[in-house]
Amino acid sequence: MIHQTIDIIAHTNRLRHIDTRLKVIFAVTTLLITIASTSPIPPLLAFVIATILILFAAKINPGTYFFLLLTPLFFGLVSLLMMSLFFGYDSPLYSFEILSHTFVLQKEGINMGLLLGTRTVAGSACLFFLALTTPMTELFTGLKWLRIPDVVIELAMIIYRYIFVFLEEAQRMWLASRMRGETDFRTKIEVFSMLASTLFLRTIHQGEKLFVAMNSRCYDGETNSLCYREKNPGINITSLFAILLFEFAFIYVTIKTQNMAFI
Amino acid sequence: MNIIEAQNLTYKYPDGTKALDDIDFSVEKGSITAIIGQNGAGKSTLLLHLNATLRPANGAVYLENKPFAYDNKGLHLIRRKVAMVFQNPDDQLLAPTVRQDVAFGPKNLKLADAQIKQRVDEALRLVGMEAYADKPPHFLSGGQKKRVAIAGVIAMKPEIMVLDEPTAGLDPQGCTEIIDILDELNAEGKTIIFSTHDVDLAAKWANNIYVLHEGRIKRHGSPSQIFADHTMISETGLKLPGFVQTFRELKLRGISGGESPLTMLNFVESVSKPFDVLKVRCAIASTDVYSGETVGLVMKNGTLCTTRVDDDPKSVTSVFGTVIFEARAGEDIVVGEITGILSPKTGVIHIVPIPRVIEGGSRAVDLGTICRIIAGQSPDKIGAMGTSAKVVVKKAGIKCDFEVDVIQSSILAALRGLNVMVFATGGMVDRVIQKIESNNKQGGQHIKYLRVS
Repeated sequence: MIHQTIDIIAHTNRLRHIDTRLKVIFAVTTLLITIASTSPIPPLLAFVIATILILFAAKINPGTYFFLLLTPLFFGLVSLLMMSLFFGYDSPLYSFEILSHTFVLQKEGINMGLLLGTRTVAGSACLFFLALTTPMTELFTGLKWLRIPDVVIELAMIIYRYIFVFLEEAQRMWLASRMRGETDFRTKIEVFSMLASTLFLRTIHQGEKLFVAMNSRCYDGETNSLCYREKNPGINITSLFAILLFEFAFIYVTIKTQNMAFI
Repeated sequence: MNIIEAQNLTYKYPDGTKALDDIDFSVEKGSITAIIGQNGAGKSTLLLHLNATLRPANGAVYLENKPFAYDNKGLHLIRRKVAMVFQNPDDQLLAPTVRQDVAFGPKNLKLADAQIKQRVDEALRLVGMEAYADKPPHFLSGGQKKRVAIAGVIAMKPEIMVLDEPTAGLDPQGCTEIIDILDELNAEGKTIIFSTHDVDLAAKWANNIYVLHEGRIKRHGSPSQIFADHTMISETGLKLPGFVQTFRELKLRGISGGESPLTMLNFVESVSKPFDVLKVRCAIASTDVYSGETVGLVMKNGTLCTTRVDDDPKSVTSVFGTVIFEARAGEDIVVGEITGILSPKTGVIHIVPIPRVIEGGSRAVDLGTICRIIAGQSPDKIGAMGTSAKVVVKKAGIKCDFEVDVIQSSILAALRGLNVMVFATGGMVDRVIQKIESNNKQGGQHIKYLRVS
């Protein structure tokens, strides 16, 4: 189960105890700058830095990380292909014919495709950095610090908690259905729809139980009851300064490489 | 005084079927009450009335002689005093980390942050889960989740703890740990109400038992009253505790008699009495013995063994008997026509009090002193009751013989002539003394106990 491994990695990696706020600031600003850049160079830079941090600072298994990267890589390649074929009109580089239809590779299109592709992969790497080094439980306090409304955070907390309860439930139900034998494709689809509807009903039940449990502990509808944490230690100014310095340097690079293209 | 009481309580499901029918239920302050019955007998429904989650169709529930008020303020008061622990901890643990979950209740009570921190730490330490404070619940085992669920309600400092099947789905050690925690809370004065299928647990732990059958109270009373009524037990689809069944079979064969025993201790006494009268004992042969040989009997490491009369008998033992069948060394034999006082010398139970978690727990204890006490008395068996006592024993690196059923095991060991040292947390010291004294009053043999300080 991939999400379970991510959760476990987030709880056990080497950067687990770094201040969540620093990690959030780093990941989010780098992501935003990457998206804003008009050249593929800053995204590539961001990707390299995020990958180094993930593999060497947090010591995360490279296999797991590259497996996670496969999805954004796939999307990046698809956008590169599509853009180079269908974007731009006055800068043909190469043309070929398939089934009496002429395809033209445009320079503009390739540049746009490269930009999109690198942005996709680099943005994902920034978010993987956050996902792999910071447990959700820590992230919630980070969100609170960023002044996200309590209602949103509390809902997210309860959702996070019950994802795992239902995951177990779904696994049990799936196993039970497998043990009684699935035969052809048709039956498989029927069984799947049955499992999905049963799971949906169980979530409603669980919701009711949750409400009773919350009431039993004097819950009166006021939010904020879940957001308990021991006093937040002050943010480490040196680290914050280092991160901000890096981000400014990164912005500088982004501005300098404006509209710079590979080809 | 009845701390909580239900009168003529009736509850109907939305479709009109009666889930509970005219229930009278009362619980004394500081007692342990068990509700036993089949699946679907209405146990959970009854428990849900006690913290005002369900409202009765007829009748009323009283908290400290005042009827429940079902408005917001009333509900808040009831739920602060009556805490509920659900059967499935996944229904109850709702926060992403253990610490946040335990803080949920105190936070709802609108306590100050410092106070919340203190209560959370205390509750987690009491259930032995402080090392897991920042873990999410899905990283924990079933027993650990249950302990966190209990910590979550302890942090609200309730007066009554209502538990739906507290031991269901737990392994034996998990069960014992949960019961141990609850026992400690009870020793501190909390009232405990629980439902269970486990008749052995109800028999040995509860002061009072209610038998629920098809939504009605079939019978209530002390464990001895309940389990003496064999027909009622089988009619309600329950079974008798293991040793009561064994006792019954022995009684039907004329081997044992008298009242139905409730604990292993009572059982052992009821079975050994006929042997005393007949002057017959089973023993282990130390050497090869022949039929009709006269042997001496001594206790060795808590087991009855033979000695040869030839080697200066008087100094070793004053108890003699005749071997009935010949046997080799190490075999079980029967010795008859026993002369001399059969009951062996009883051991002494040393009780060492350990401060409670709130009073500093294991950190307030000097481990050197503990080791010195043990070295001074050199007990044959060591037991620990309560969280901080167990932590102390573990820290001092002492091998503990009794962690389960400590009082009963200690008394049984002392009856066999072993010296026992019990480390007891806080109020549990008085409980040990109370049990030993009540046993001394009932049973024939007197056990000495000493409070070590």
